[in-house]
Amino acid sequence: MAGSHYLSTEVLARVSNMQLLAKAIVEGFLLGLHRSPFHGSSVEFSEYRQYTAGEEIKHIDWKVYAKTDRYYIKRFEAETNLACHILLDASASMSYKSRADGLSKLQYGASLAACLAYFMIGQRDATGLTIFDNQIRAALPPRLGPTHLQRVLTELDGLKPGGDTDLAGPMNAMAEGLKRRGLVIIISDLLANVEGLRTALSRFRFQGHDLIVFHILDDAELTFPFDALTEFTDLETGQATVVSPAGMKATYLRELKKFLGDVQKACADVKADYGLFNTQSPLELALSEYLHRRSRLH
Amino acid sequence: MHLGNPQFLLGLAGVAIPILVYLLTRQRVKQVAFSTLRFFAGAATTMVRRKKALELLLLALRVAACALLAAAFARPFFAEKDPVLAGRLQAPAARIVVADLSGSMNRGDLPAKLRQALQAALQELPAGAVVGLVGFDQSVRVLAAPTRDLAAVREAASTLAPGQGGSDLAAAIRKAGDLLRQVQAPVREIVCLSDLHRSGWERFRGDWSLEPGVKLTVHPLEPEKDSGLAITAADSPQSVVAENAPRAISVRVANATGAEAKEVPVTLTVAGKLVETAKLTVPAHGQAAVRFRHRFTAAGDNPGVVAVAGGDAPQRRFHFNTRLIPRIPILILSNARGEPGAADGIFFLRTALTPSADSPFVAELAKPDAAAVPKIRPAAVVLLADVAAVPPELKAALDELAARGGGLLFLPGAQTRPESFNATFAGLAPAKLRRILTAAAGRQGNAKAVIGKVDFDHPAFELFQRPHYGDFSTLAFDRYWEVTDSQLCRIPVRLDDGRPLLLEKSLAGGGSAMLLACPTDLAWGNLPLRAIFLPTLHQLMRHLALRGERPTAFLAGQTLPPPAPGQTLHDPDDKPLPTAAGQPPVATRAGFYSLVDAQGQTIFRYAVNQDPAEADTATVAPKEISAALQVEGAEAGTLQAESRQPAATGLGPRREIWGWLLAALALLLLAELWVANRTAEQ
Repeated sequence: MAGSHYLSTEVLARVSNMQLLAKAIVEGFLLGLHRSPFHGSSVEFSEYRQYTAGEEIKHIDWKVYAKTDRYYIKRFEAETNLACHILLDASASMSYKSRADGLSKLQYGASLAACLAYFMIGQRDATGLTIFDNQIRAALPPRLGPTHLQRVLTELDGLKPGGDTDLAGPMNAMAEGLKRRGLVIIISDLLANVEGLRTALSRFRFQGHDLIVFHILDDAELTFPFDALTEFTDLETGQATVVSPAGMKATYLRELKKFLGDVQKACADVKADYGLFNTQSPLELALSEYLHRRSRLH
Repeated sequence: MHLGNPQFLLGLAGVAIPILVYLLTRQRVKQVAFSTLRFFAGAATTMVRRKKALELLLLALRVAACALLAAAFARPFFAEKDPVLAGRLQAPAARIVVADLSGSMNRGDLPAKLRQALQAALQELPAGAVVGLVGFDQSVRVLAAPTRDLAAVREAASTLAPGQGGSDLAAAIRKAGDLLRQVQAPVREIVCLSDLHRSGWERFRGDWSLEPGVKLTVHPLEPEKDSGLAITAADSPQSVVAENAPRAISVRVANATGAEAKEVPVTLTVAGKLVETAKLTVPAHGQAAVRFRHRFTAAGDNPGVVAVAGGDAPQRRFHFNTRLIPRIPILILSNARGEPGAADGIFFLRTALTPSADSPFVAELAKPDAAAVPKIRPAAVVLLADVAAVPPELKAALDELAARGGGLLFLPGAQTRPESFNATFAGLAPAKLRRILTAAAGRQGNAKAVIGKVDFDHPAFELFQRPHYGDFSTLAFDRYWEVTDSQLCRIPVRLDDGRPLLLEKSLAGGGSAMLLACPTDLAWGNLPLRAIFLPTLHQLMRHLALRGERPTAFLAGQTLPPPAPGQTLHDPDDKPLPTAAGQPPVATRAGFYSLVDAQGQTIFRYAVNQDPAEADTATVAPKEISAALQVEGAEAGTLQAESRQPAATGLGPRREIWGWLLAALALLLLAELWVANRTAEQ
């Protein structure tokens, strides 16, 4: 099965347990968050009400009429009218990994996206996938069903890192195509202009979308563990510089801390849910922590 | 530079150790493809350059430390390449003959005896012996360096003749000892041929001796008959100021014979004219003096000769040249009128400087304004009496006076303001004025300040050194100026509290400035009323006016002042004096040396005499010389043993520097520690 690389049994088991926990508290992470305000023709019964002249007679419950001799219309609660949009950054910077046997940020983010898609579609939430770097490279509109899940996983399985990171451009293009409000999940290392990120998130929020930002960074990016004289080459620009890490570490961590603070502030300003993920952390642990945080919030 | 343990230089290979360690352990640049460089904040390149530079500096320090360590163990030292030691001759015997060519050897048959003694000293030498020849008067000349060419030395000796110079026997023997160090021989000898005048030995200070093993043989030469009378001392003024008072020219004549010299004519000739003849009786082996008093009237040179009858030998003639300076023009700058009864003291100054018509001074009073500028140009000395400030053109004229060798005497008074005085005369005044001190304020009992110390070595006060030639103790001062910044001054007179009363400073250009801290004012002290005032003031004026005068008296053998471009120096025969390029002219014999200008006019004369000490017949005993210069009990073989080290290296005394190298090594290690810490922090 394509995409099974991302969905190990352990991950599914751990996340399934968490999903059950979430559902028990607030009807699950996704379902609980996005209870439908509409009543439609779904499968879950909601209530009865008396028939009013002019309504379609196909919704009349004839069994009740037979028992009571009155016309009642059966109402259902819709379950699948949430559109979830997963935006995955596949820029060159996402290909970085500090350990040869570890996951790159792109692999980590793709795994996370696969998990989310699996859950969403399993919850009968229409889930779409958009892959971008400095432009939209692939876009799958939100759909339901195993076939669509298979397409999503196939897209993630063959993913290759691309060009520069540009959050503003692809997100604005994406926002233009979203007509219904839904859930937007952004998976990226966010190594781009923070103001561009803020602008894009603001636009999503203006359209009524809920926002979740998964910030993926490698452990080496967070701790800068280098010690020997090193020539660093920027994966996106190709620019190279020689650095003495011992003398540079303090400066790097200071700048990184400032960057993270700016990103978190940008997310907080638009009420986007923000989570920082270290690729060294187990994926299931990261999902558990995040779902736990969501459960506390709702 | 030389090395005591050159084998330790192999340790220089140790410099490879830090280089190898550096090459093996240096950080190689790792290549890392990183997600972004945005967090490096642009400091990366600078820091890497600094780290690289520090690493290279650290390597250089470590290499230098290893090199210094090896160099220190090699025990480097500095030693002059001693030409004497470097080329030592091997010979069975070595002899340096020292010949006295001073003026005293010109007596009687001494020149002939000297030649005979020279030939004798160059005889009886073993084959292959090394011989050298040294001649001396007041200077020492190597006439023949140590050589095996005996014939050449004999030829050089045959032409020797005594001159008229003084003698320095000790320096000649010392030079001979130095020459003997060139030779490695079992027998090394110095043969000294001299009349052993004590004057030639008196310069020996006892601070050196001959090397052990060097034999000193002294052959005293005595004239067959004594030369008779000779001038052993003489005195005459070299510069005088025009005045009516006659000047003394005196000579002391010694009689070396055993018979009394009776009624010997001694003549004084000035400018070619016989002026006076005196009859002098000199006892046997005794001395007598004659003094002529002569009033010089001709401005400029007054060449003269004092001659003792009985021959033209240099020791019987005394040449002198007394230059007559016209009256000293003095300008007194003051705002006071100097009238009798005035308390400003100008009256006392004018009266003291021109007490009579035959005063050697011509004093003029002027106010310190621009109108006084033309009067400064002819003046030799300018007195500034209670003058605190002058206009710029007058200040420029005073500077010009100092530049041409003139004199300035500052007499600050009650009207002088220190700030103005210090600012106006900053470059001329010997010191700065601070404040007026009242003598009674700092003293108990005697409320007046008195003279505490007089420097009688100062030319202006030499006259007062003899008893009854002036009493400075009668002076008393009620007030005086306190001065500061007098570090560069000579202070001829101090008060009893140690403060300077008279200060003198030499000015650029040859001029001189003096400052009297108490004016000639009765309100300040009793100086104008005391007898010492007039001679003191006259002496100060003479000193300020004449200190720039050139000397006219020299001794044979001394160097004369080189003539200026366009001038030539003529010898006593009035022939141009040959001089080597770049060498100062030397007066080789007694007589008048003339300085002739481009037009052939004689503009100056130098009077040259044989050193009077050469006429002194006192001698030194050979035993005294040997005892002073030779190390007793030393064997000939001792020389070789003791001089083996310098003979092997050909070097003089060592100056070891390994200690400095170790000190530098310690500093290097400290620097290395510091740089290493800085590198680790990067």
